Amino acid sequence: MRATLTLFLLTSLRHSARHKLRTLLTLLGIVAGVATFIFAPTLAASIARSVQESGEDLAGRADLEIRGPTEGFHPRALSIARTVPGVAVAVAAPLVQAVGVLPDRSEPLVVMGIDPKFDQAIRAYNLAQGRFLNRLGEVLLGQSYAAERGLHLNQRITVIAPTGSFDFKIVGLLAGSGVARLNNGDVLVMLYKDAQTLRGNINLATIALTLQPAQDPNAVIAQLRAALPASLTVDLAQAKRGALSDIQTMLNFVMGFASFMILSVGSTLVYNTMAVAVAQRRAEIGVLRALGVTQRRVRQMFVIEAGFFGLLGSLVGMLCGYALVQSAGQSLNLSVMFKAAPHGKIIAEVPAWLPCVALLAGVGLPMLAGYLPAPTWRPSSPSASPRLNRPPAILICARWMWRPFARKADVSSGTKATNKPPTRA
Amino acid sequence: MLARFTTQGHTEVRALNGLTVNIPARQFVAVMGASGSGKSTLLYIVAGLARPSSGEIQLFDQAIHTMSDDQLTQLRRTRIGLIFQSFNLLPTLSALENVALPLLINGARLSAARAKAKTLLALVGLSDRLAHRPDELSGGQQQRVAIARALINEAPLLLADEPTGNLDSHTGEEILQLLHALVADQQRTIVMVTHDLRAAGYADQVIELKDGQVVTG
Repeated sequence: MRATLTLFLLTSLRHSARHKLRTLLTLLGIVAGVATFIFAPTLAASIARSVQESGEDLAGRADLEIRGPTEGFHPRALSIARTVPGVAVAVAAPLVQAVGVLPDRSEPLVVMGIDPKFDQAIRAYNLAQGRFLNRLGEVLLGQSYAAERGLHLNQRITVIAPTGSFDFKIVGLLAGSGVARLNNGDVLVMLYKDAQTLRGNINLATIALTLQPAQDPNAVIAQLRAALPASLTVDLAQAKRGALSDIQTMLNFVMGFASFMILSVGSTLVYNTMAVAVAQRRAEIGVLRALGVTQRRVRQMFVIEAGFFGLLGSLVGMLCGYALVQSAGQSLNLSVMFKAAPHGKIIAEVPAWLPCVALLAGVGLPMLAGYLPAPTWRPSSPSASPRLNRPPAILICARWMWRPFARKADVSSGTKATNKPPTRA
Repeated sequence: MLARFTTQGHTEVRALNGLTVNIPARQFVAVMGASGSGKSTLLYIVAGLARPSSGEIQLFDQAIHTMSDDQLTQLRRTRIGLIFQSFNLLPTLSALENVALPLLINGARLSAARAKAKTLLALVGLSDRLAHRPDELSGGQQQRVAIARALINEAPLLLADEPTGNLDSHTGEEILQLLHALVADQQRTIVMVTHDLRAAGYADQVIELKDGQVVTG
């Protein structure tokens, strides 16, 4: 083993130090591959989870949903829905719109207009501080948003909307799950009427309903359809969640496929960079074999070398992967990628098993690449004898690619290709 | 009766074709012949770098044609020194490290290997080039380093494949004198492949090959 380690220190490390660019490219290949191993599955899983959680937060516990045309519908529909037998709670679903808050207008908030009397029956509002909404001019603010901007309870803030500027008083700070999780906590909750003022009209977008116990949803739907104007549609809220679930399934499939492709490319990259690095030292292997190094020792030497660079590249690759994940978590927004979903930043967390798999791939694949090709290059015949002054690989490739054209040229010029025995000194 | 057939494309190449050679110990033997006569093939078979298609090779009273790859490697490591036309020094190592390499492969300590390499480099007249890498040495100096490397394991048999092929005539003469001195002073056996008549003039015995068969010798 001492001889193998001496060979590794004397030839492998020296070779790497001399061919800095080649070594750097080999390491970069491993770094890129391992970073991909960390980044791609994490991103896919995080996006899928974020979509699911956002959907759950917004849909809440609603059983049915009434929808209207794009421009909205008259609030009278809400009163009608409440009179239909079997309906337990009917609330105007949040009027979601983005506005800015002075003095920091750069990052828009999501504003939800709610009916405080009924909305808590459908969605979760966890108050970290203060109280729930009682009257016009009051707002609940995401605690994280307030903390980032130094806003506190009972402070007055100015909300900038398309219809003008409006002053509100912060009466509660939301935290934890439910509504506070929407848009990564950058959320402002106010009474529906205040939100209508911000929006500039009184129309409703949707109505969410919960049913009394043991009610047949289809029977209630039929009654609602009969009572409401024909321009409104009534569906199971589950259908909406089902649609979200379908989208999520599709997203999972697309991200899974993309991850698989990226991981395949990453694995190939890791394997190939090491295999090429070994191939480029074919002449050196030939000399070592001629000087009395056994196949096994050549293998050991390259496996140690591959493991060394694999470990080095993997550690750097994992750091890069984590940095990419953090960067994606901070900069990606679901609204950019998935317009039908509510706003919500991706919370990217690397699963515990992933670094182990990445390390295994980052070290194992290069070691395999070092192990497999090394023994096949033995100076077993004079034609394969070690010569260091062979032409560069690119020249050999160019000659090989030129061969068919050269043959055509011979035929067209009337020269018959001869199969001369090779000459050898 | 040694034979080695290979195929290249659709053509069968008879590199060696029923050849019998006896190489006496402690002699300087030159193997001559035109290109394609099979002299390099013979050398590589003796070195265990290639295997004959048929026939027997007795080396140091051992039938090396029956040896495994590991046994042949062991034989090369301990009892055969190889000198190539293109020197085949490792470009990343200094002259001293190149010479010490066979001993290190054999498991020797670095300090012991370096000390012996220094002595041998002094023997071939390169005491002042210990730290130079091959690309910092002339062709003649590189071949001297290669000779020192072939000597470090005290191998009784040196196999040289056109050792002066890449050198100018003056440097070639120096290398041939050095090889000749090794036989005279250190009782080594040298088999040298060459197509240079002047080089063959230094040998005690000349074997001439033509089309894989012995013509004279």
